[in-house]
Amino acid sequence: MINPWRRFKKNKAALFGSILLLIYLVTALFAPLLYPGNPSAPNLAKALERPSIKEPLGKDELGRSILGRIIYGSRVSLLIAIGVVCVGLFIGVPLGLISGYYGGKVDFGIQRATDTLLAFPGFLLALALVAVLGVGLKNTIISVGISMIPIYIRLVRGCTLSVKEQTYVEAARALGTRDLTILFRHILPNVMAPITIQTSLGMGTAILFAAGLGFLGIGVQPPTPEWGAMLGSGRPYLFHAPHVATFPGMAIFFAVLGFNLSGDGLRDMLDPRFKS
Amino acid sequence: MFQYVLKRLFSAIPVLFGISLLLFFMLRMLPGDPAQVLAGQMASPEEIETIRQQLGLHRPVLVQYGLFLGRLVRFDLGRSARTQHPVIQEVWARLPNTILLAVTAIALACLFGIPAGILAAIRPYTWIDYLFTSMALFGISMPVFWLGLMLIILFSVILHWLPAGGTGSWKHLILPSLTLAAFVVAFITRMTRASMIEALSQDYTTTARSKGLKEEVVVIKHALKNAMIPIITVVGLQFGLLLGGAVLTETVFAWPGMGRLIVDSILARDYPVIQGAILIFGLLYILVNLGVDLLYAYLDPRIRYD
Amino acid sequence: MKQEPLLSIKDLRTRFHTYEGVLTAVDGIHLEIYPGETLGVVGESGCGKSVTALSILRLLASPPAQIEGQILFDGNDLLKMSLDEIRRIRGNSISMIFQEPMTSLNPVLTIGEQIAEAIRLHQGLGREEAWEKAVEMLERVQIPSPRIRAREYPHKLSGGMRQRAMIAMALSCHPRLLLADEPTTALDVTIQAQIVDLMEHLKEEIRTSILLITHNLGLIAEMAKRVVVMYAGKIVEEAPVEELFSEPLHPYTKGLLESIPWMGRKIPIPRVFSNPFLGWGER
Repeated sequence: MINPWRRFKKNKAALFGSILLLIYLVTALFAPLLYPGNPSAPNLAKALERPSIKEPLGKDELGRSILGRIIYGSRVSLLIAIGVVCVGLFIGVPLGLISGYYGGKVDFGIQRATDTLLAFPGFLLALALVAVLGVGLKNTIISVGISMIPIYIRLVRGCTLSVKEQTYVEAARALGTRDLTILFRHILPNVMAPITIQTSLGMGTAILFAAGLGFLGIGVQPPTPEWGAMLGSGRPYLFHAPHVATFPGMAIFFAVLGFNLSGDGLRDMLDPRFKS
Repeated sequence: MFQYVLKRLFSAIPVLFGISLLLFFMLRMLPGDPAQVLAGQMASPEEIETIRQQLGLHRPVLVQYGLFLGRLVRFDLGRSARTQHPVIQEVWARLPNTILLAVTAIALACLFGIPAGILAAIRPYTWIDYLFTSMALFGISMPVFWLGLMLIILFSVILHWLPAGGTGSWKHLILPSLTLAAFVVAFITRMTRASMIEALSQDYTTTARSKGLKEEVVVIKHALKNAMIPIITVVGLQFGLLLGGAVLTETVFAWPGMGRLIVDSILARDYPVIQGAILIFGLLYILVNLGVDLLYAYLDPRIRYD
Repeated sequence: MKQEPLLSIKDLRTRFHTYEGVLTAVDGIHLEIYPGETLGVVGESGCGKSVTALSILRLLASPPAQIEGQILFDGNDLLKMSLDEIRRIRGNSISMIFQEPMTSLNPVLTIGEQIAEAIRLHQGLGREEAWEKAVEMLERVQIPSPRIRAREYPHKLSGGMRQRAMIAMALSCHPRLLLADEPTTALDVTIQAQIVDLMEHLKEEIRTSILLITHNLGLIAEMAKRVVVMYAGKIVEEAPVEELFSEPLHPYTKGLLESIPWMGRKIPIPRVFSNPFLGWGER
């Protein structure tokens, strides 16, 4: 059996993805070091300046450095990604475990609720929630997070259903172990693998959704630098200052690509089938 | 098969109820007086009062819900707070545009995605496979709206080949549907590839080869027919995703569809329309999923003949 | 006068290149099958018998698999043929039936179609004629109501019937050699007997040779004339069937024969635990 880490390393795409993620993380953590100064300070004299050597990505419609805002924007999107996934995990996983383990009416109820949420394509659901909750960073995280919950519920429930039939669970029950202990000590560890993969992919999706909301103007509000919002505000200037919209989009693309490649790599790595 | 169809129809009902509940409570969760919210900023006190009577806000919640359901069944979704036209009218005017866009996008996506997936599956781990798989991954990672804008820059600004937005001719349809398709083609390619690889590794493929059949026949007649079943499911699901993605694409290309309607309504706080549009989207999605389930049953003889 | 062998395998070596190295499944075997005989290939799981059959028809995916040696059929080396030429042989002069009739038949095609397509391909018949022949074959393998069955999908048939259908499929073009890979292993014992009878019967009618691959020594005893014993990719013994059973020469063959339980034999059961509760509750 090949060491799973070795498999991951051999997968060039996954490696590339991890590098992208690393760059992303470093940018987010060390933003002030990479771009000293306030990126949100307007300087109308230099509005819509084209990319130059001093400002490699140019300036936006308020004269702010696009490079600087992208760097700081990485913090915002990382925060959103983590927040969204936390919402999904902390609500979705327990619900999925309970639904799968106990079955019966509890399962039925949770499943119908999940079905309802899943009756809407993800982005639409987040959109609807934002319509109710309002705009802003916090509400963006909540809305996108809620739209992610049913995915976790389904995933965890499916896994729980298969794991709970295993003999070691039966054995634990025969020994009189409390349900809660069984859930967390026996079932949860075996569900971790798909959860991890989903989380990696989910973070990418979270960034995409949040950017979508930002683009429409109903996500993170200015002056907070969010990549989607930056794209949105660059839209009117598409014809004579295309750089304003282009670069934030590339940032989104690379970040999400990093998450997707790594997530795929993880999935291949954890796949019990032997690749030959 | 009949049982299967019945079961599927049956399971759609609680979901419909769930959606109606969701919408019902959505309105009441907003700050302020629901009647005022529905009527909009510019309504007169009489209009607000009329709506208040309609909703039965002074009556118990259950009665309100009952009234709500009654209205839903009659497709009475109220009036737009912005234009004062019936919501149904607003929706009906725009729905065909969104459907046109979505159908074109799905058709394009299948046209590229399924052959790509098949090619990738019969030559796994070769440059063809890596090419298509990477393209697929790129497609999923790209923000739909960014791709749209980039395409506009390329084809409108630089090349002047295609219009940047609006409707009017088939030329206007190209960019938006390509944009939408790019996102979906990724899923379809991946699913086709995975499904075909699975089918090609099955025993019946070896049996087919052992009969001396040509490789094309083995791939298309034996493997693809089996692989189609999960592929169709994904296509159906993607159609639903497209309806959500249409929101962004329609905004970018100023396409007068349901997506634009929802966004404009959210920005204008036009709640009757938001409610109506979400309901219609939900219904559409359920219908599509139901359709896919039925198609699935039809394609798989194990379900069809039992 | 000595007969010419129908199929002659010389120094066949089949290797698989995997992530973890090279796996040699068949390690230099020599084999001959004569017209009209049933040659049994016996051995435990993993000894390379199935791979041998798959190598004959070149059904192994050739990047991971590497096949060397010589397989002569009708004076031609099968391993040196082009894929097109091999395809003309598959299902036509040499056919194969597989172990799992459930998964070896295509679930989305009717039984009749799966038989007819080989007939159309190799015998050049039109749709209707091929269909008629397919129904005829189903009748020959003793499937009741063959005309109705031909229009059905595999999942509607029982295990035994599916195996019969597979046999019909394989024999539809009257092959000279039938490779039978564990044909009865997945079936009930009673059905097994029926299939064995059927195969013997058809073998006489159609005059095909059979390469019978199995780990079931009883089946070998019933059907085979000569037997070849394989172990770890090599042939360790070859003998006419009665000799193999009465006077096994190779220690492995002896071991195989010893492992068959039969009535009246006393086998000591090794004692593992004197007290079954010993050790319980100790950490």
